[in-house]
Amino acid sequence: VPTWEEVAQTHGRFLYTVAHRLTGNADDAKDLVQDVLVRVQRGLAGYTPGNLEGWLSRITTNVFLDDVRRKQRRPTDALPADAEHADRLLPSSAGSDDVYAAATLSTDVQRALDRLPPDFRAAVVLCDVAGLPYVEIAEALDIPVGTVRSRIHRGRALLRDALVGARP
Amino acid sequence: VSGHPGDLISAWLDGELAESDGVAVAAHLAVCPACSAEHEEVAAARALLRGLPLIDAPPGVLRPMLATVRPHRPRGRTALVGAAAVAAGVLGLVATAQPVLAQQPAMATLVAEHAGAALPVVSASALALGQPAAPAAPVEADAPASLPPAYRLVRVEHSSGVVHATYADGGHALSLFSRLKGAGLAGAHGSGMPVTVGQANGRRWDVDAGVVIAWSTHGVSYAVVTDAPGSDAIVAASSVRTATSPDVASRTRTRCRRLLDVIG
Repeated sequence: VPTWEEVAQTHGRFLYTVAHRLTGNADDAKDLVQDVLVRVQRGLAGYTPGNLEGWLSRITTNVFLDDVRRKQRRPTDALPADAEHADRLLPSSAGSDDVYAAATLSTDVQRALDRLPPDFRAAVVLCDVAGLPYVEIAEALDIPVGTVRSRIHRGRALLRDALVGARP
Repeated sequence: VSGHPGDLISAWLDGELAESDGVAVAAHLAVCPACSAEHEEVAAARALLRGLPLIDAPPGVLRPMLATVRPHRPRGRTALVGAAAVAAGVLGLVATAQPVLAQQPAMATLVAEHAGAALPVVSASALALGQPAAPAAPVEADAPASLPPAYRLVRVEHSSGVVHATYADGGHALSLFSRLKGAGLAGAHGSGMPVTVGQANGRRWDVDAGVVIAWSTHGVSYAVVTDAPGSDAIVAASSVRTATSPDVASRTRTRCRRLLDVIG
């Protein structure tokens, strides 16, 4: 069982990156990482050695989605209730202040990610940023592998549409 | 695979299909312009996502927050967030200090047993004591008798025979680790600067944004880890009173009782 310091030293950058890709900005990424750290600290003792980054991204994604759902229940900043059938993109989240993404391309891809419905974004980030296999994504999100497959495929297509649409 | 493969295209790109299904997808793409275009689009998106750089966390983000344990008593006051954040900083500092301490097997064990343990004996409600630590903190056993003004005891942990007390003044924080019967540190060679701590000889390391001082006396090993100025660290370390009753657990219990009395 690793200590928290080992986790932070070896996987801190990975953890922060996953959080940033999910939330789309430095402030929310920081809050998300702090929430994850509390859970990681509590969970480390019971952690069975295995794919640590998989475990971290699973926690991060679940904290993120819990947070999204909590906000969803507040009418002021509602997100689509049925993301599974969302056929158009959300407006870009306001104040997406991406200080740490150096390249314009990265910023564009991040903006496009921000516009994906959260459930799609989670699947795509777990697959293409965290590098988890479908089976682990299915476990992390508690959905069937078939749903993972369709969310990843649809998420990528939506992302590509968003990028093309963003071009002048 | 029959008809248009749809999301099997992504699964194929990700190596998530059985070989026979993959062959079928590839064969379909070769003859179906619509699916071939779809394949190009998702493959481009996939490549962009996978090409995204790792992002460095801004300083301080990767330090665990304290104050996650609620007071047992409903009357307990809530934690002072500022002090908790500062105390969290010291945990980060402890992490920074670990490579240094790793040169001292005894201290490395001592700190390692702590850094990831998160076993608060006293809840964060102790943060709200609101009194300067110097006169009001428990002065028995291993508490520093002399801390810079405005330091308060914010947390005490006990595990594996090590007591870890954290003090903070809202600007800096100081952690004191102590362990009975630890291997002697005063005789440690080669690492750190020799330093006099009260009557004992110790070692001092200046690490990123902080100071680590380790020494042992009367059979107790101590380490102070702090982001406060080094002179404060020496004063605090020199004022640590050595246990007269040589039982870490009972000292911890006494301290907790006192704290609970104050909180309650």
